[in-house]
Amino acid sequence: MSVTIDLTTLGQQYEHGWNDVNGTAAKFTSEDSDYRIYKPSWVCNSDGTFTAVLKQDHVRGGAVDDHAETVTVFDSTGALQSTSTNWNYGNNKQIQTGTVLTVDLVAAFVITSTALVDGGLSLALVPEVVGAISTGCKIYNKLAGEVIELDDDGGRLNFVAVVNHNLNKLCASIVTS
Amino acid sequence: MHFDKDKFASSMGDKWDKKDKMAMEYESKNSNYRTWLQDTSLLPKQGGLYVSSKIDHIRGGFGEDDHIIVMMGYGPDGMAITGQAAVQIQEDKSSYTTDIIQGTNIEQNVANAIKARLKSEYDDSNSGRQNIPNVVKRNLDAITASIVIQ
Repeated sequence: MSVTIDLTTLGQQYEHGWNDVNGTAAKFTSEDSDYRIYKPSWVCNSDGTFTAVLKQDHVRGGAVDDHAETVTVFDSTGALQSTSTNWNYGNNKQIQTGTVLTVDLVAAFVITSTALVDGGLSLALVPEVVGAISTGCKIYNKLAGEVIELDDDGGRLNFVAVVNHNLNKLCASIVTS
Repeated sequence: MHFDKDKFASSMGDKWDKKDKMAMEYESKNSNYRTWLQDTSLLPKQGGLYVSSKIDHIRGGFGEDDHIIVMMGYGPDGMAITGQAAVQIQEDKSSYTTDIIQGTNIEQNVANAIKARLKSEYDDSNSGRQNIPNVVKRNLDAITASIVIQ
């Protein structure tokens, strides 16, 4: 089975599609601030996994943009395996979130909701889900705590939510064949 | 599965009539607030819906607005499964984020988590800050009421 990204599907999830940087990026507004996501690059790894790199900007107009680079690994079935993000805030600060192993926050939602609906998960998975959610919490809390110590208009705070949405949209654009 | 912005407006008793129809502004306990149109994305593997929103505490002549980012996760049955908020208090050094809230009554527990971290000594020029948890609860209830499963 091979894995790839459907860039048409990904672009359609942004209001104006791939409308920026000669069609290589999507610029959009979220919560009264401007952001940009570039078409992702990806590579199929020799172990059958698939790595996608997502570059994103918080557009700050007269100031240096903030940047986030999310590296996400999918398994050979296209399921999300792990994700990590490097954040650069203007000229001020660099923050790196750790890699969430096995189950990340987004996938933890899936497993949690499935457990609630189907009740079909084994007990062995429950502590792993709890641990993953706890890890995700720590990562987000560390990140958000760092972000909101910086002086800004809320657009930097919202950048974290934007990056989370971008990851969901990327997952929705993964195609296996 | 999707978020119905008209249901949200109805739940809030308001309209999307500010900021080029991207926001609503309202009064609560003699202070002013603004809610921006929510962002949404589907969770992988039909896992549900992720909804985020910015809420402003409008401070007018007292300075820059305070900002609250709320982030909610809903399962495929439309029930809230996680909630979190980040609060940015201008000038005041008491910016913070809540843990990710799970379990039952997530909307109330997110509001409680915000309240637990608010400073108690805001003066009259910032009294709207004490009301932020109530405003957030109102918003989260309205978001939950606007999740549509199909």
